[in-house]
Amino acid sequence: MFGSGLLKGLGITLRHALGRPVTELYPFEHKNPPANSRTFIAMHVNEEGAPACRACNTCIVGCPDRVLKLVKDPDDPKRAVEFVVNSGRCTYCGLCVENCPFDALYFTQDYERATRDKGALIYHLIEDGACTHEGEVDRP
Amino acid sequence: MSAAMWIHALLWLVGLLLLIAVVTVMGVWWERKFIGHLQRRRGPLHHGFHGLLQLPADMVKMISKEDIVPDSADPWLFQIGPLMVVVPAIAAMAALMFAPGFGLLDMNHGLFYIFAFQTLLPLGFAVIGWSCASKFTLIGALRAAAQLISYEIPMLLAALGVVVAAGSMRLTDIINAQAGVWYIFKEPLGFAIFGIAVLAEMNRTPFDLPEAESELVAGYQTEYSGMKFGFVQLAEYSVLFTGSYLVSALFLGGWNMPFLPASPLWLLLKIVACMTMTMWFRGTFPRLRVDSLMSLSWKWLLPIALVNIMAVAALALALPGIY
Repeated sequence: MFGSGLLKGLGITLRHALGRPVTELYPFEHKNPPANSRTFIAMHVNEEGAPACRACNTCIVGCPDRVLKLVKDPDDPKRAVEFVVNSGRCTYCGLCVENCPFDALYFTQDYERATRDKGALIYHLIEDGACTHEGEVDRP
Repeated sequence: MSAAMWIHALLWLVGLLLLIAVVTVMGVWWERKFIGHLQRRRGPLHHGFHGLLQLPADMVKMISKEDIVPDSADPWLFQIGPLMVVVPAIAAMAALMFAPGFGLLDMNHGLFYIFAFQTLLPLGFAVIGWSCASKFTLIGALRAAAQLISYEIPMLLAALGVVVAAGSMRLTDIINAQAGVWYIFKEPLGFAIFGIAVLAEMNRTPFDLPEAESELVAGYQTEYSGMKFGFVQLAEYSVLFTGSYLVSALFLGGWNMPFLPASPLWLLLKIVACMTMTMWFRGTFPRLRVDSLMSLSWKWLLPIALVNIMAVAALALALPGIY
């Protein structure tokens, strides 16, 4: 009937007005991203508290943007003394996490690291052979 | 004129200007809030209670902003353009009656006076559009002029039905004649035509072609900034208020309410309800095309309005006591 579509539209918007808003109050309310979202990466530690990384280089070979840098221990080639992430170059493709045969890398669920300083985008996940836990966040 | 009359007029002028300011500020806030919720957003939120202080903040910003005049604009017309819309819009409000004997001017041709001043608005829009020397403003102004002139005719014819039924152009008489049955029930066709035409007269969605944000930036007011833009906004909300008043007064019984004593409160409630309806339409309907806008007025509303006025006149003659 002529005009029934108009009434239907009015009904839809009225229903919206009576329902809850879907927008999020972003800077005031933080929501955790979904579990499978690709965010900043961090390093797992093993039972002894040492980095889980075995310096196999698979992540570095797989990284399309040359984000990662790894320095091996000259005495123990299966130990990393330094692991640097230049997150300013990262496209969050997730290939490093996916490729790691030891599940040493994981996504932190942190997505808020905007900064004015380029240098602040470089994270040291391993320094002097120990995990720095840099950039790991505890979100509620 | 005696001193008491001068004081009466002065107090009413101040009161009406305050009313316009409050209507504009609250209208903008309520529109943003209500349309936000219609679209599942939240609207203004952070300044004051649910963003109530957002609009005073915007007003201060508007007053303190730089007044930019485009190089190629006609300097004189650009300056007086906003006044040419805001003065008729405010002048039309002088005839509004809020209760029997409670108003600035209780004219015996009040309705005619309001329509006469509203007829001046297309001229102001055309001057604004022409003076800015911009294609957006010119197209917006031509659309405004064409739309306002086209929809005035069905609107006046629909209002004429009420005048025929009430036998007067005095707003107090028209509203008092609805103490029993409101004219919306006696002339539903007239109400529908008047409602649609008033919506177009107020440049509200779905008839907001003169502004058409998605095509014309802001239509005829594109080049205005600062308080000149504020004046055009003021005129727009004054027209919205007057239009909502006319719908409430001519068809919805004005200050009358069934089973309850007459009070200006009912009139204000009806005006707010009418304004909210226009915002509801804005949050729901898409914009009409220019040609469908014209054909709706000339091919549909005008013939129906003519039939309506003849039917009302015939009924008024046939049933003089009831109609």
